[in-house]
Amino acid sequence: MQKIAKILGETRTSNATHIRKLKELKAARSKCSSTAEFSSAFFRTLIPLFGVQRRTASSERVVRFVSVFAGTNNDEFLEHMLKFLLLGAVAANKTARFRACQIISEASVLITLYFDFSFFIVKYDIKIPFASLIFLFHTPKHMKKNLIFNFLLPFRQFNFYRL
Amino acid sequence: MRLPDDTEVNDEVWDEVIEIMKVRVKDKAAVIRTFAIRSLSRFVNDADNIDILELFLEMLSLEQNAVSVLDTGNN
Repeated sequence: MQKIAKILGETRTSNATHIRKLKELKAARSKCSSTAEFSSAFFRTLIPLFGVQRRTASSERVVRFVSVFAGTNNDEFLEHMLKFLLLGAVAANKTARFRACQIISEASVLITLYFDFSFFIVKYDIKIPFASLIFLFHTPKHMKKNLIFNFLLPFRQFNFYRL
Repeated sequence: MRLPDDTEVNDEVWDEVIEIMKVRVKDKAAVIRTFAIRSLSRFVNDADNIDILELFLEMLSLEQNAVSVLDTGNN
């Protein structure tokens, strides 16, 4: 849990560190004995964020990082995360509802982009770098920046060609 | 929302997300309504969720913040 807290704390300072921090968090997850154990520690570390009402630059960076991590771990962890966020979304506390809905909205956008992208490259059976260019070309203008920063850049670190 | 067969996220979880976000669309806090609508916007094109579009149209006419933004633009 301390490791996770340290990583999340370092994501507050700059967006430039996020790709490296995603890697570190993924490594921390792989060291846990189970997804449930990692999820439990991760959510306990995240709880203070649900008490931060002000939309400061640092809090928004953490939200973005958490959303990207959730969106790029589309497995049992994501299911745990959604259930955790849904508890916050129905809380009596306004700030908790706000943060829960914020993370759900950010993650939902990324996850849907992920599925559109994976269907795209499986359908056309082309390599990811070229698929990225073609997919980016067809993406609406207002989504391009979000797509590049939050989705394609994190995948740059993975040396694979098929999702 | 149609998910690939190999995903480990249960469709029921996504259904629950959609249902709770539909409730949050009517939250008293504008920022929460904003994020709820943003969450649902990714599902609005699904044929199974046509009620989401209807909810959007219903809420659009009731949303005071949307009206004030439009009014500012006209002035």
